[in-house]
Amino acid sequence: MIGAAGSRPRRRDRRAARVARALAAALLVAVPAGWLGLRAWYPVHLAQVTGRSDAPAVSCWYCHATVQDPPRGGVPGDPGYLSPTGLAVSPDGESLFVAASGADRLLKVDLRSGAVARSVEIPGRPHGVAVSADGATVAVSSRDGDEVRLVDAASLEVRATMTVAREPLGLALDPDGSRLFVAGATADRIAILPIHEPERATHLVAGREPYAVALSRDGALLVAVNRLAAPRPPGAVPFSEITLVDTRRETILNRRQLPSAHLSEGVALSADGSFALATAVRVRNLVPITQVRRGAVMNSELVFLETSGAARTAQLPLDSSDAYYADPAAVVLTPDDRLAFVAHAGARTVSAVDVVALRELVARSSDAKLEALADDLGVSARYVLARIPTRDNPGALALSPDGSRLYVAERLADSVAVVDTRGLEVVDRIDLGGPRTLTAARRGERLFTDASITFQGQFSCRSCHPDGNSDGLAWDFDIDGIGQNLVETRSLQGIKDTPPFKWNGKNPDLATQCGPRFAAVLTRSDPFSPNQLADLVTFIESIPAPRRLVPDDLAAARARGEVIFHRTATDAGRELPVSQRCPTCHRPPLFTDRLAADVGTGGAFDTPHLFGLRTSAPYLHDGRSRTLEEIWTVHNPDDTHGITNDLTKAQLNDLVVLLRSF
Amino acid sequence: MSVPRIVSVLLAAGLALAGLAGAGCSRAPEGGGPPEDNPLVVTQVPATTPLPYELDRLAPLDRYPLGSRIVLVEPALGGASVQPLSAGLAAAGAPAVAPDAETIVFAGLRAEGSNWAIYEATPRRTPRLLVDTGTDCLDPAFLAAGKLVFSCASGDGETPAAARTWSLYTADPRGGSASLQRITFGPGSAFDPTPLQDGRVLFSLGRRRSGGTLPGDAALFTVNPDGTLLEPYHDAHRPGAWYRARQADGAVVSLLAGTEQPKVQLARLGAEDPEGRTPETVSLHTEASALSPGASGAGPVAVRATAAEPLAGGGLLVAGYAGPAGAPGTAAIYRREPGARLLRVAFDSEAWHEVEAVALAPRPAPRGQPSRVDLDSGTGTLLCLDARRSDGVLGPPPDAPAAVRVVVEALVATGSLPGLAPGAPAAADTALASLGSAPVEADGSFYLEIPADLAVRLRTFAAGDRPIAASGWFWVRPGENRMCFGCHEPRTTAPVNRPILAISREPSRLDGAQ
Repeated sequence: MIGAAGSRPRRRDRRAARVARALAAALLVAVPAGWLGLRAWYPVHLAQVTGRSDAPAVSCWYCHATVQDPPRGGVPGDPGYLSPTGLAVSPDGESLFVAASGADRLLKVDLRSGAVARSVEIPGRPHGVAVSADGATVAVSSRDGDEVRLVDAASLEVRATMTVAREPLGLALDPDGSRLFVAGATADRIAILPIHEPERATHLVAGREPYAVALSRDGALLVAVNRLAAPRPPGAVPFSEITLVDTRRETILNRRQLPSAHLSEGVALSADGSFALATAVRVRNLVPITQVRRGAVMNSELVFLETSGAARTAQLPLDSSDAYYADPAAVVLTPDDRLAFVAHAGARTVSAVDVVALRELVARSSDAKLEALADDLGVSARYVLARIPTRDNPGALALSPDGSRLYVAERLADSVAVVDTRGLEVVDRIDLGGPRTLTAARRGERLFTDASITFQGQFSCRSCHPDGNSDGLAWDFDIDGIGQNLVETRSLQGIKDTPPFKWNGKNPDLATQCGPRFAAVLTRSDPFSPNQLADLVTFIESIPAPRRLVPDDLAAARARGEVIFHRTATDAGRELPVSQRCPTCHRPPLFTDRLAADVGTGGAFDTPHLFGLRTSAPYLHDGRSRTLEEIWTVHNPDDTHGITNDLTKAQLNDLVVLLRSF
Repeated sequence: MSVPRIVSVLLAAGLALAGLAGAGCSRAPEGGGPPEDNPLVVTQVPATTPLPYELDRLAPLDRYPLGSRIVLVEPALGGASVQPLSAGLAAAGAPAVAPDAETIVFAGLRAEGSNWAIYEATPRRTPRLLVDTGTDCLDPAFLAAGKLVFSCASGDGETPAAARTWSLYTADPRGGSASLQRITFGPGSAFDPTPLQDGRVLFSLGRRRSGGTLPGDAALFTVNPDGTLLEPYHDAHRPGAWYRARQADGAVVSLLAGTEQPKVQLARLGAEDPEGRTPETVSLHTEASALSPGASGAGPVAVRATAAEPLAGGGLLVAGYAGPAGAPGTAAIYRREPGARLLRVAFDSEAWHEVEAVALAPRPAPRGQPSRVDLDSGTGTLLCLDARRSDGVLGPPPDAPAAVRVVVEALVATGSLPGLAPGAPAAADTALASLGSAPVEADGSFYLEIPADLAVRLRTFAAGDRPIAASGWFWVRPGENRMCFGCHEPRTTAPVNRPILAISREPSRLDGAQ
């Protein structure tokens, strides 16, 4: 029994051993054969997919990892920070209305108690706030909703919702409450909306990305400033604009150019409307970045602009040669026009400016002298009275009706500082609430917007990447050779899954991009610590891609553009080489294959993603193309950037409509 | 109590205990106390030494005669606790306190006839030698990440003082001799370095003071810790000698010795306007009663400073003599509180002159600066944006013809100026040589490749070799891309944002530079 019983296992063992030997033999043959086959197949596959024989070998994961469409709008994991971006004081001085952009709410603060008395949901990232002259109505813009809501000032009940220009930001209400004036940033328009007939709105062209508006007390004059400079060819001096609007006729009076200015985000008008003050950054992008000293890269400036008469314009520094106050974000004027206050978002500072001294300086200076003063960092000591420290990322400003109190929105501290405008110091602080803990992304955003990372605090990451986007300028970094390698600032929106980074694609991840070399090349100060770097990367990876934008009247054009984008043959029926098809390099959903390509612009450059193209002009690695159209009509004569020369004008328009919708 | 404060108190306590064993002091410092009672690190010079009241008139090596020492003083105890920190050394001076207040460094002379070196004061032990270059080194100061900057003299004790020049060096005490790096390259002497909060090194550049004579001109300059980007800190052409500059809360205070008369003032240069159209003079007076109880009816007495240090929050620490020249008494340490008008005596001893003091208190650490120096490169570049841009006084006048050519001149060592090995400061014997010339573009720009670590200056010429202007002396470090905005342009000007013709091609190589 024992022997009979034991024979079956032995047979099984022998069988198993035979199977194992066979499998091993098979593997011995199959693995090398498979490996050899894979090696033979891989370049073929790579060539098929890229249409190129020179594509670098990458891992399977590089292309086949599950990649989602990047998040659009909102920061994942944000615990509900308030992030106040807009302030307005009621005419009786008793209430402060706060646009809490991060929490999609409008807050009403009782200024006697310093507490939030009420709040209401305002979807779509509320940004700007204005109160009607009678104090009854509050207007709030919704940046992502393309809307303005009219809210009852007492109850905070939403009374009306109006669709306005794309990405409405700054706004103002007519003294009689009949019309709204709204800066529509990505529409490049100022919208004038009759409140009771918003469908009869007037849209005025107003430079690139109108950001803030100021209305004269009589409502006759509107002044708007633009965040970005107009796209210009490499080597040309950039300029921003200030737009003056005759509100009665609803026509543009003037578009005043400001050479070398951009990021103009704040504007205030004098009581009589005779002059305006605007904030701006004076850039020196045509000067190679060999040093970050004496404003060689940029400095903050205050623009003085006469609205009538001689209509003189002066661009005057807010910094001094050894002390910088980056990212001027807003300006207000006291009712008597004697003092102005400027919030420096990157410097945790508000500057107090003696407007009388500033005007005297302008009055006694010739135009040539004023031009020279724009680059004289020694002149600010003549009109800057004080630097008032605040908490993180001060932005919006509002004055009490009598001008005795200045309210400063400390965006990344969820608080409002109260400044005594006579003592020029913070005398109180309003805690708006919000989460007490700081997430890695929030800490990273504080770093991103803090110019203290740079030598003497001259600029922050945000100075070149407003809202994570591009400043639209090309720069010359000396590390690549002076005068030879202009590179346009790339948008950071939606880039989480799009490594490598840098136009030459040398940085495999964001930690490398923002690491010690970055400090040596650009910030010229201590590099980020490892913990700071981790926080910063977390924040940058959380910057959402811009929302998709498909206006109803362009839906058909976009659909036609989609066909062109994915076409495999020319109109004449000739098959397009794989390498010359749009999706080969701009592979959805990221719209990049993350490989370098030579599109005939002087070398191989990292293929950029296409998110937010409508706002990230100029294009190509050195910004040589001012518009999307120019990429193919001017800079693609030999079809090196896709075969496009067979496209008709209408087809190209459709393709551009598609690209502007990403 | 903050952690740094605890650390400083513990260090003081440790030093005091060491002093109890070694110096027989009867009282140990107590913890706590207001910030103004921070321990002081003081340089004492024997009162038997006949010191003039203005130390700027002394050659640097005469500042600290034999017997001078570094001590730790506890003002809270009325000066009863005086703990030597330089025990075993023949002389010591120039103390500096690390940002965390845990480390003190100073210059020490091991024995008569030896050279001055940089030491660390170590509680309970004899001072630890940190840096010895084999030549005299003084004035250590802390940079970011624990690095030190100091000035070292050329020559040796046999060299006449007037013939010795001083250069700045940096070293990482943890990095050994390999970390020693020269960062200034003359001509003239660089001395009294101090860190600025933004990471730069502020120092005096000029003719070094020599014994018994009026001071030479010395202006304040800045340089990066790696020796790049030498720049004047203020109007460098103002006469007088600026020295012993120190920064706190953004503002810089510096002693200023006039050339008209041997009078020393304390001047303040504000952070917002360091050019100082008129530098603010800081009044230094003390109550006569503070010096002598019987003099209670007398008015304030001037204090002639030998050293001063601004304190965080607006206070001031001053070492000096009170009363007119020749008055009896010794130099003492004074303190002025924020907002106060007069100095009060913080510490005085009859047996010693107190000639300088620094608070043993935490202070903001200077920012670091990543170095772009490439020691494998023998050259750097200079890009001038517009040679026509000028102050109209020292630079080309407004009606000057356009420059078409720039000549680079160098101070070539008849001794060993170029190519110095670390630790071998420059010799004073130099000669002027032309390194070659390059074209100036129509927009006034030029772009040059220049031999590194060599004192050079530029001279511009119009057509017909008509001289237009000459620059001051400067140098470029290996691999440095230096940029100047004009030719003696006002120091406050930023570049004009415009296309630059010179960078459309490679930098001009100087045919005379080998």
